[in-house]
Parts: sequence; C-alpha cells; structure tokens
Amino acid sequence: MTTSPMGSGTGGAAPFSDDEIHAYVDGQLAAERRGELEQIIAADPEVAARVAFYRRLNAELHRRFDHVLAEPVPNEWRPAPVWQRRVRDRRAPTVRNFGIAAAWLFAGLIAGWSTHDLVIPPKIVERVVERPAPIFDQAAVAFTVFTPEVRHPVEVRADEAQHLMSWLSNRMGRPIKAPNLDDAGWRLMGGRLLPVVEDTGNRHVACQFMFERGDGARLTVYYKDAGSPDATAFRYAEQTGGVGVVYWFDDKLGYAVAGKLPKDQLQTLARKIYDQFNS
Amino acid sequence: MSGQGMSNAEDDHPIVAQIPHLRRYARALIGDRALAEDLVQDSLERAWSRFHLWRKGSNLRTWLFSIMHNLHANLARNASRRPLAAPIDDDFTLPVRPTQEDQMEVAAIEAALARLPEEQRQVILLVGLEDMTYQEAAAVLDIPLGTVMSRLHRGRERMREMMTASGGPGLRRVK
Repeated sequence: MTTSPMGSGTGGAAPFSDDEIHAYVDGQLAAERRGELEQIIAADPEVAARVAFYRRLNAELHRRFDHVLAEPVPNEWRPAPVWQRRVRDRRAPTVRNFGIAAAWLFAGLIAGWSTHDLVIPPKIVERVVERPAPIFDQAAVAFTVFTPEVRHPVEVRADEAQHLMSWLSNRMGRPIKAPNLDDAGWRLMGGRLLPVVEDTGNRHVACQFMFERGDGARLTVYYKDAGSPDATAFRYAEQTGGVGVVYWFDDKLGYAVAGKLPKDQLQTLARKIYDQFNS
Repeated sequence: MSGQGMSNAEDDHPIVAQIPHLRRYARALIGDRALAEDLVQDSLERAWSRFHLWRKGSNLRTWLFSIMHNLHANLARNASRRPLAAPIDDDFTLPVRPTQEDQMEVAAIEAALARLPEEQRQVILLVGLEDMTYQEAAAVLDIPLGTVMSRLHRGRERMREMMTASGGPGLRRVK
C-alpha cells in the first residue's frame, strides 16, 4: 500500500500519514516501511492508542460477526439445474411474489374481460390461476392488454433502445435483442417486462416488444425463458378476439409473434425474426 | 482469493464458497437479520443469472460484493432516508457497560457502527471484517482508492470518539 498523504491527525510534522497507520493495522503496509512505523508507534502514545483501537475494532468485528459464516446455507441460495433454477430461487415467500401473482392475475382478468363473454367471470379466474399458461396464451394476453394503450403501450421506448436491451437482458438473465422489422414496415415502439406464472408454480419474467405499422396496427413479439423444449418448429394458435400467435422455441428461449393479422403474415414475420437470430 | 475451485459440481461452485462472506458482511452492514438475508438472496439470484457475464480470471469476490453493493444502494435509494438499523440520533446514549478489558461491549460496537454514515461503515467492514485490500474495497464500492482511505479514517476515528468519549471504563484502558 503506497500512501497518499492526508496529513497526520496527530503531530503536525510527524513523518507518517494516517493512511500508513491504517495500512499498518490492516497488514497492507509495505514491509520495508513497517519497522519505521513501529518505531513511531513506540515513541508516540497517541499513535499507539489509535493503532490499538483500530486493531481491537477489527478483532471485535470478527468476534461479533464471524458466527454468521457457520450458518448453514439455504438450498434456495445454491445453484440448481437451469431448468429448475427459477422455481427454487423464487420459492421464498416474499412480498414481490405476491406482487407478481397479483399483477398476473390482474392482467389475466383484464385480458379475460376484454376477450371473453362477460357472462362467465368465474371461469376466467380459473383459467388464469389453474390452467397451464403456454406461451401462446401468455403472449396473446400481453398483446391484448397492452396494444390498446394510447399513453403507455411500452415501458421503455425505442428511443432508449440501448437501455431497454440491457435492462431486459439483466432481468431475463441472458442477452436480449429486439428484432428489426423495419423493412417489413413495422417500427419498434419499445418494450416491457412481464410477470409469468407457469402451471408448475414457476414464477419468472418474460418480455415483450411492440411494433407499429403506418396504419396504426400493432404487433408484439414476446420472449420467455424456457428450459425446454430446446427447439421446435413454428406453431400457430388463434386466440379469441382474432389474435393470432405464431410461436416457436429456439436455444431455450420461447418466442411468440402476436397480432390481429392473417396467419401467413404472422408466419412471414416469425420467419424473419428467426433468421435474424440465426444468421 | 480462496475458494475459487475449478470444479463444476454445483456445491463446489466458486460462488457457493463466497456465500458465507456475503452474508456476514450484509449482517454487519444492515443490522437487521431478515433484511440482510433478503439482500443476500437477491444478490445471489442476480449473480447466478449473470454468471456468464463474469470475466473469467477476474476477482469473483469483488464481483459478487459489488452486485450486492449495487442492489443495496438501489434499495436504500428507494427507501429514501429510512434508518436501517438504529436511530441516527446524536443524543442517543451508547450502552457502554464495564466489561472485560480486552473486549469492547458488543452492544456498543453495534450501536456505534449503526450510527456511522453508511459509506464509512461499508469501508470499515470490507477492510476490517472481510479482510479486503484497499484496492478490492475500492472496486466493490466503485470509488477511488483515496476515497476508501478517507472514509476508513473518518469512520474509525468517529468510532473511536463514540466508544471512548462516553467514558466506558472498559474502553478507556486502551494502551
């Protein structure tokens, strides 16, 4: 440890710095300087008192907190095989989990409300909470909830694209990039993070990018972390309300393109996206 | 750094070896056990999911501690000025009682720690409890080395004042 003199707290002209006293106590002082410091300490009771206090402070910190080192490490804190990691990590009952569940339930209720016959609300709840929510369902719900938004269709807008990608990459735990659909006439509006509750009870996150066409039509591309399947062909599902979804899995990520568009258009866009990430 | 074995077995993962250290530091930093455990858990979640971003060969320990530091800083910002462990009240009397000569009163050390500005507490703990070099502490906190040194100095001197000025008989005897 070399020193950046900060002036001595004790005798004005003393040939040592405060930094050196700390470095001496912390065992970070260069060996050749140690002997000189020891002489100074021996000669100056005030310095000696400081050294003694700092030393005992360090020792007391260990005495007070070292027992924590011996506490057994909860299993949830250890790594798990990737496909179950999130289940285990998220199991601890925290307020956040309630928040995620509530947000999902809320989103589901809104989506159900707007896409289903209003006469049978109990089924909507059952559907959200108990039924498996495969990716096409989840993507369609997110599409339905957010595309009608005028003021808040996305959480982070495309003009902050770099921030958007790094934020979503952090939250998704893997590099995330929005597809570029400019030459198909779809302009990126931005994206958002979404909660996911799986039928396994697994709670994690997904994200959605939204695109807009010149005529005001909107399209979403939904990504969800998926331990399995590893890769699939394109599949198509049509949801109530005319929302079509083309989805596939690739490199343990689920993709779903959702829009009120004919099947072949969705498929063309899906192909385009697939090619962008596999070129 | 110790404990960075190369085995891939999950219990031997180098992160696992650091968990007790993260936990000890969090406990000392925050005071409240439950809050500290939450912080460690959140930090580990983030660390596992970002492990692919860790540069192999770089210091894993400072990487982990800086993840925790950043999370904690975000939480603290969100919680605004809520005191973390103890009231920040200068009239607060430290519970110093006569004790064995070579031991500071445990309650006193915790109370004094809690009254330090957090930026000073962090440095004192990283250096004095986690035995980090000053350079490592600077990396964890993302501050210049000189700032580490001045926070360390001010923090330790403040603690010395708190723990000796109130006249605890056990502390006056420091030779």
